[in-house]
Amino acid sequence: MNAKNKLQALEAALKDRGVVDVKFFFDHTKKPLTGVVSDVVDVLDAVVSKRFDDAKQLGDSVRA
Amino acid sequence: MRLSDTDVRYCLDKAKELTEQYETYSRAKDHCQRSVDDLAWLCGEYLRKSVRIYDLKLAADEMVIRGMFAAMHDGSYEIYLLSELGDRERRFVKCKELFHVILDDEQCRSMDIYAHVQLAAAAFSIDDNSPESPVAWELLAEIAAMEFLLPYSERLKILAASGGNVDYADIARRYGVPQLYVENYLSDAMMAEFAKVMN
Repeated sequence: MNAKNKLQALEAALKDRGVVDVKFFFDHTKKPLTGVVSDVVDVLDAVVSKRFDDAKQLGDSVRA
Repeated sequence: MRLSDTDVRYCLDKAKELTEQYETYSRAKDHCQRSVDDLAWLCGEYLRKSVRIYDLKLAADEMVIRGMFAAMHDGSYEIYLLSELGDRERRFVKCKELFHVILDDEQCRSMDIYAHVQLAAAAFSIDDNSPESPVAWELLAEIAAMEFLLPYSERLKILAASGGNVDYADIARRYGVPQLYVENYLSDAMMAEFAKVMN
């Protein structure tokens, strides 16, 4: 399965989970964005496979 | 990438609105470094938006993607941060993704991820490209995040006080923003663009 097909399969899995919009933080200093599809596949695969924890706070709160 | 002045003004106004709310709750109004954790809290407290934030078990390393935003069918949002980001980058990525929540509009949504990525690749590599709206909002969220973390008014003061010799590393440290973005947003070209929409 090529990267485009993998991406479309992950897109379908996200839709099944109720996702209606996706946006990414692109660091366009890293490498040409033309090669970004494989990175997107890796990120979406981690999301769909639930390879994540609740995020740690940054610890910068100054709230009264 | 070209953006409409109307869209830029809208996202700057939203950043200003959230900053005003932030100042209401902050114990450190004169502190240069604004809290992104408190911005996340404001999304729930002030905007009544449900946001869950996760750390992906995937190292950022040399990846182009550093974070991800997802809007859900039930009206809630999810943000994913890649692991092993530096402190300032992690703050900035979280802040920018939170502004996707704040600026979310059904008309700017897209689930055609392949097309979105292809369009983003073109839009960020061709200066005079005029991208479709979902990609433009990637940059608009960045602009709003910078307006929260290092506002245009502060940038004017920094430049006026610098005597033409800005210590970018010091500004990055004091405001908690990656130096690359400090340098970009203090550049003559970027300041000129902001001057046009601020006046």
